[in-house]
Amino acid sequence: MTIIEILSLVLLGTGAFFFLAGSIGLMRMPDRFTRLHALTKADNVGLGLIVLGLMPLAPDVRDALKLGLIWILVAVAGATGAHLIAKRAVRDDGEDSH
Amino acid sequence: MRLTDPSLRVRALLLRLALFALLWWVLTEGRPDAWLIGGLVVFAASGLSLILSRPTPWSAIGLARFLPFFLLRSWRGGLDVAWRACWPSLPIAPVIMSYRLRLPPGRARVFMTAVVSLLPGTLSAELARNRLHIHVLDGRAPILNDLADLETRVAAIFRIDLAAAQRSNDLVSPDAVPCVDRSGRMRSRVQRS
Repeated sequence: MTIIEILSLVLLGTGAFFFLAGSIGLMRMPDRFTRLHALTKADNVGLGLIVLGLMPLAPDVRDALKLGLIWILVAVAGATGAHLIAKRAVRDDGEDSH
Repeated sequence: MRLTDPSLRVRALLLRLALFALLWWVLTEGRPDAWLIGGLVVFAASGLSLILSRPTPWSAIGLARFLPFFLLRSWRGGLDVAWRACWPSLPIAPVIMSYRLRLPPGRARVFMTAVVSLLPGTLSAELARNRLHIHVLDGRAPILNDLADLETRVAAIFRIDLAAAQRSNDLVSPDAVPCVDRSGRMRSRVQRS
């Protein structure tokens, strides 16, 4: 195993831990807002680390760029989605509000 | 905001052509025959993007300073929520706070709203008039200073003079009463100012 492979493995493992922590948060947190905190922030870091871990293993620069692009798009979508769900929750007018 | 400076439009067009070309190159995995369609698509996308999203002034230095700040803070944001989620006693004290924005309406505000949700302990819930209502995971943390710092950095990206922007915000929607809802009720409706 080369140094790069070990580094990748550590980054991928840490990234997976963040996804796990985000999912634990989703189950343990008490309401919609706090669940959103757990999901958006932990998954953003988790995916960032997984992308960083995969980049050194990518066959060329183009594939590494593509991985980076995936992270940017998911981060933008995550932040936007979280805001929209939180907005609905703060108004308390969702279909499942009671 | 309508811009009269033609050099800004030209620079925006060149930058977007370059970005869309890079995107096409990445997506098609550099296949040379794909450029037959690619050239057309890059020009069409750049033209359309100029119509849908008008060029606004921005600062490369402001952006370059923002990126490391954002990466570090969003890393801390993930770390913070991860340990809270896994800690046996679940140490959270959620509140909804209201932050009075100095940024003018438009792209800079939307950008800040998105970034707030990825930084430690904050989630933007609603953007109403000049206020950003923020759900805070732990109300004991000093959030307001962090937000003011973030706002200054966002203003630097978009070349915005915050003091001037705030004066014009106040003219449109005066709001002198500081309102911070620290009740912490989960389903409390946010006061509309």
